[in-house]
Amino acid sequence: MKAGIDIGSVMTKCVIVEGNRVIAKTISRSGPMPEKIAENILQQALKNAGIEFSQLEKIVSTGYGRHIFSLNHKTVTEVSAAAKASFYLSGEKPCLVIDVGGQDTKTIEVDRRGEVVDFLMNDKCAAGTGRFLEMMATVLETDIYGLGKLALSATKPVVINSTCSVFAESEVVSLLAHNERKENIAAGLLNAIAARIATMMSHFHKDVPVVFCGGGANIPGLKESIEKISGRQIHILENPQFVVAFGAAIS
Amino acid sequence: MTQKKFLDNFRDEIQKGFVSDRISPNNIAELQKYKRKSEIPSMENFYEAIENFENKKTFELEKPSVGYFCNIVPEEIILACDLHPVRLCCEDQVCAQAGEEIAPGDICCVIKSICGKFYGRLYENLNLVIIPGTCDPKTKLAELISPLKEIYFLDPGRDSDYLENAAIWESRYTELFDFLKKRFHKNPGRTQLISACHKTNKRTEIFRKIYQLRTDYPDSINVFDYYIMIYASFFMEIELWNDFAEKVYSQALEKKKTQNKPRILLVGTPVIFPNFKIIDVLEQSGLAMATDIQCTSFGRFFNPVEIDEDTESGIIRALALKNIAGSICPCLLNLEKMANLIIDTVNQYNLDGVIYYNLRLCQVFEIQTAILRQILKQRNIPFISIKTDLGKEDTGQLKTRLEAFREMLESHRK
Repeated sequence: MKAGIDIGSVMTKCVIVEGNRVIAKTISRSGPMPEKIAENILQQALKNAGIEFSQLEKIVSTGYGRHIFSLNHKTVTEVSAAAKASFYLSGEKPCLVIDVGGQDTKTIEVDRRGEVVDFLMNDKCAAGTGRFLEMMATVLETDIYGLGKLALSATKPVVINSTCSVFAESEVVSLLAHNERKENIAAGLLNAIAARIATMMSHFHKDVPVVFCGGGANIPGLKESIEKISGRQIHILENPQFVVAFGAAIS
Repeated sequence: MTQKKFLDNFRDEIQKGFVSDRISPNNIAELQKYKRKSEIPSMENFYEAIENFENKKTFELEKPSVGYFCNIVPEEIILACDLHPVRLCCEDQVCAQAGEEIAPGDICCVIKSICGKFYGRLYENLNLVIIPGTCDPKTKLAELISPLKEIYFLDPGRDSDYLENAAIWESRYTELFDFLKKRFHKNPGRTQLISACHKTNKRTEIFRKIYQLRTDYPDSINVFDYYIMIYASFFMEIELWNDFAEKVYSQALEKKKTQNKPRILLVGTPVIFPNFKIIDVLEQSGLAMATDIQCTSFGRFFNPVEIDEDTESGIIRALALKNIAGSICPCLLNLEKMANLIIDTVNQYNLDGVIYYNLRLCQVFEIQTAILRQILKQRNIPFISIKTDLGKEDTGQLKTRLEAFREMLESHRK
């Protein structure tokens, strides 16, 4: 049995596999002491799986905190882990992976051998990431899932001109002050993110299936928004938030 | 208040904020960090030279000093006039922050750093500054610092076609030569020009040996030492630099060892001390920078002056051929030629991938990223573009990208 631990900027996820079958998964907010959190959720996952630590053949860590986890046997980047898992979960076929995480958004092209051919990530600013939506959700007095739900009821999505978190926040505050419906603002925010992702997708081959993972895939309406802007069908992988941890476990 | 009085007050304010108390200690701490990584004893000469320079001792020279930017300014003409050339390009975050008082935030950090240094009175001992019209920000930079320092503006145009422009370039370089002679009361001619070319050609000869050694064995001279040597060449006496570099080469020959890291070509905006973030992350990510295409290293040193006709005008034409026709700056080199240069370099040195390094707001580099990516992808050359600035807060993010790039390259090798 093997464990994969994805220590992300917002959430830490753990998956235990037997062969390639998931037997336990746990999740917690990363917080200021991510290594401690990672140890805790590993213990919780072991408990859920009903196994001892000594029964783990290998622990692979990934995510931004991958190097701080001292119990690991190996580290792998979240790009490789997402590719590995997506290839396996797509029936071992080439695919284009969208991974919207807390701190960054990635698009990864995976070939027929399951290898990464090319990838793109957002640069240092938070534009296009889960963190951006989290900040905007706070302004709308909800969380990111609530933001997605609001967007589903939009009648006339606004156009958000900036994906810079600071300016977008001002723009949202200004729209609220002008009595714009929260639903329309939420849909505008999702469209702004979706447009950035669609641009990233345009750099890759267009004849492969697109799969979606990461916490962002759980946001209601985001997949549909990307589909509409990119003109491509997107399949959300099962348990999208755990895909990278799963990829680490089977790396 | 007169303009001069206003500027003096302004400079006093800036200077109070940052100069002598902050810049040198910051940079010297960085310098010590890289010095500890060095395995070549004679690198000590370069580290010491930089430490002295950061403490502003080097500017106390007997010869008048002439500052300049970009390779299109011919060092050989400055040397022929028995003047000391100092390349002023810099990427210093503390200076850039101070420079924002003069140059607004959305301007390339090199320009902001330079403004910070000038307004912080770090270049007081320069007698003259030659600024080329290579890019728009440099053109305006001449205006920004002209109240503080005597400026010579060199504008040979932005077309690198030799046949079309040889006459213009010769004329611009001759005007510069004549100006320097008059300004500094010198009377050099053909002999002094040839002697200056011999000095820079000697430097090219040594640099090529080092460049070749590093492409074969990137660990022979670590990447920090490589860029430290380059930075030292900005201000050191050229013959002294040549002596020191020759010693480094001899000692590095004994450090030849094969390694298995993916071999990288680093292309794009220059790496200038103290801004070593990209090479630091590259190293930490398990990649080996085997070679580079940058204006401060390869672009500056690789081509010799090839004199076909040893008259004064023949030498000046040879300088223009080397410095302008041979420029690798995207202001002059078109995209197709840049792509071919990258492809040829990757093939010639058997490299695994290309990192296209883009310091934010250097638009001429940034604008060609997407097309270069497509061209190289068609040739199956792995490519990653990194856009960043002088701040260190994105180091973790960059590390993830470059580690992922390394994992990708390793899987391709299998």
